Amino acid sequence: MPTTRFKIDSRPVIFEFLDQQRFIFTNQGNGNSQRLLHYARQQAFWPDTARIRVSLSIRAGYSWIHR
Amino acid sequence: MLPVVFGAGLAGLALREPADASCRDGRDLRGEDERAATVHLIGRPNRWSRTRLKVSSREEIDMPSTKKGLACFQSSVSARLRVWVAVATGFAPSGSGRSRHRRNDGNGSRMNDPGGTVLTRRDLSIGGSLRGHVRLERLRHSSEATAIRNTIQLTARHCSKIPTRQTSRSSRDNHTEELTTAGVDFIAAVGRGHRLNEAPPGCCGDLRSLTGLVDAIQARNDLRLKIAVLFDLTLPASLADKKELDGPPGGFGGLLQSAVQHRRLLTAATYGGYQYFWDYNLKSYFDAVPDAYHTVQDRQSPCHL
Repeated sequence: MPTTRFKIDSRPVIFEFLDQQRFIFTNQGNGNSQRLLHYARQQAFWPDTARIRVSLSIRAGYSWIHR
Repeated sequence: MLPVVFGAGLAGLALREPADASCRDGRDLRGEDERAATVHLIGRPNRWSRTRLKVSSREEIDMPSTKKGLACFQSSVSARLRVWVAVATGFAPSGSGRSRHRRNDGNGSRMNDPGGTVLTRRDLSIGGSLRGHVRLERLRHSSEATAIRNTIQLTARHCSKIPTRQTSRSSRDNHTEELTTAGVDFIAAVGRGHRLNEAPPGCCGDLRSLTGLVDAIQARNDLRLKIAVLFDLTLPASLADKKELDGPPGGFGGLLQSAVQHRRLLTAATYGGYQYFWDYNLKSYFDAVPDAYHTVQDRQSPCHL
């Protein structure tokens, strides 16, 4: 079955956009952002089902990493 | 939308890169990162019939009064911040009665689209392709960050719902035909997830509903069109929308939980932050959108490690 996932470097791409509206997405500090993304990558890389594991390529907005 | 790969900050995962280059997908953009790929946010526009979208400093384009109207923007996948906005006019659905809605031909004049199943001026060989009607204008703002924000807000406001919930097969087919003819590289479907125990298809950005679009792409036998995911954190935010519907009131604040909160909330299994990022949202994308190697039994396939 041919793929319909968009990939860059063979990794499916997840775009993250974050606006300057800080009340929507808060408390990213103290490694919380990393834990969130780590959780997603863990779930994708070590799936509990028969799905083939994937390595996510998460591309986040500029403002995310500037918090 | 800077392509910052967070994998660099997640070195503890020890992820391996693909070992076999031969099994890479044909549309892989490896080595072409400087090329601007066409990003297409899909959604069901709500108020396009009376919306004027300003796509450049000197021109405004009337959006067609049809729900098939599409707004797409072109975004670079390179590290350089470049945003292009394109507004692709839609088509009159067959039999809708809107046989004379306006289209902009890119030259400032108007043309009439008679609608129907065969869309006019879509042959790439006659120079009248749909891409020819897509007006590309670099956003002229004081800062490119502002340009990105405006672009995403525009699409988020008007494309907040994935149209693949529509039961009309012809509607999906028309949508797919338009995208492939326009040469759109991939769709960034806005994922807002679904609520706990919500039966598919859920409302407002449930990625489980992408199966309809996948069927349309495969039925068209034109597999150049790919699907990606966009987490849109403007209102309604992808990470907070369904979470706030399920959880106790309190607004969007404090979305990202601390580690202690996360452990407590995960065990509660009813209200947490991480589930609404993966389990109820991103996982749906991987379940709905197939991969080339799903039939491979060996989970150690080097293609996706």
